[in-house]
Amino acid sequence: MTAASKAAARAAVVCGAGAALPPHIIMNAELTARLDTTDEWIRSRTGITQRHVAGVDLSTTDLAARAAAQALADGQPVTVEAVVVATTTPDRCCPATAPAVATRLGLTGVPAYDLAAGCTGFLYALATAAGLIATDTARTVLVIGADRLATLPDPEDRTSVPLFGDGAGAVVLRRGSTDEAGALGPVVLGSDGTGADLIQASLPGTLHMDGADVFRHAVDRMSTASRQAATAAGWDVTDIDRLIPHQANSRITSFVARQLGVPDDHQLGNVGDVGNTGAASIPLLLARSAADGRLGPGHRTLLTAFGAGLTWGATTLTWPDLSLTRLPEGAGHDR
Amino acid sequence: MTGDLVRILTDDLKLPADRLTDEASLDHAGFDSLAVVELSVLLTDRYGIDISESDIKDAATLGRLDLLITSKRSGR
Repeated sequence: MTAASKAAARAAVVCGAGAALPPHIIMNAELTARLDTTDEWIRSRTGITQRHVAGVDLSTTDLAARAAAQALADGQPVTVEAVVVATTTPDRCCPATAPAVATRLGLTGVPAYDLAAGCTGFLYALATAAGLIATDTARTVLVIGADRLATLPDPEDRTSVPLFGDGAGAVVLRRGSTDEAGALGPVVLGSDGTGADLIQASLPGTLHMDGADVFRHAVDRMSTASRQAATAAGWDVTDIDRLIPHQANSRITSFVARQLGVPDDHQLGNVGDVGNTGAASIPLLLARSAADGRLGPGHRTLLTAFGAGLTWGATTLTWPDLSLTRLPEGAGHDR
Repeated sequence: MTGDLVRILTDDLKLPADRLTDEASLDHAGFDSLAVVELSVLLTDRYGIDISESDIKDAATLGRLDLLITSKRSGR
């Protein structure tokens, strides 16, 4: 049974979105003063002009909790029954980030876990959160993508340092039905461990990335997964009103949009302002675009990502009117 | 240069049309390292031919690149 074949089946429905960025901004000019690179080189190859960096002031937990709090504040009040954090840069190897985030939000006691799937982590987290809802483990799930990718490159690596920034984004999913706005369509996911060395870091400050091969895999995997997700939702790619690709590099996202035949003005992006924020990238872009009106109620929206692993994924939803969010059946609303 | 290559260079890679001559080097035409990868991917997707980044760089001029693509497309 596909989502499209049974109109009123149960679904996970987006009912809130939020984002958090560290206040400290590093412009390209600051990097070119200490690294052998130029503003023109960075802009022309990546589209990036600045990135937000947490430094020692903000942890991944801090960023995750701030984004989550905003997602909860912006939607209608709900009781969160589970927390999933997608991150490649947790504050500690052990324990996971999510329980601390849950406690920070006053949610001590709920199921909470981390999930690592590189820059595809948020889409993997959406899929598992939808599973928690489908199996009645939780009626409302907070799904957070949070990363401090600026910690990964060697500080002297002029080709990697400019690419990455820190941040977090979050959405709230509630139990609903497939016929309402905000319902997640089928989530297409994949991985290929033969490409594990193409993007890898054994420790902070040791990131290695093979740019050419990553480009090839990224455009191929995101284009293919996007077509699969659209088909699984019963859409044609021409139905896409808003393409939300993982923000790694504007050359990659423009290439994917052209491969799919999505017009420039239907593709949203913010890599110029925030760089590559890893698992935070998609929810950050969703929250910011919804706030500034580039993403509006009724827009047929396709999310796609690619990252270390290699991993990739895509899914669809019709963007909801978050101000009109319905409460989940039977759930309280003490927040 | 064939119209197919000119269209890819102007429409997909957004290179300036006035620089696209047979004698132009890749640098002069406005290629950067990523554009070489983009062209390689586009040639595979559009024509099913495998032309690596080093093949493209070795061609050195747009005219020789065009000949390489034409010969690969005709299976020679």
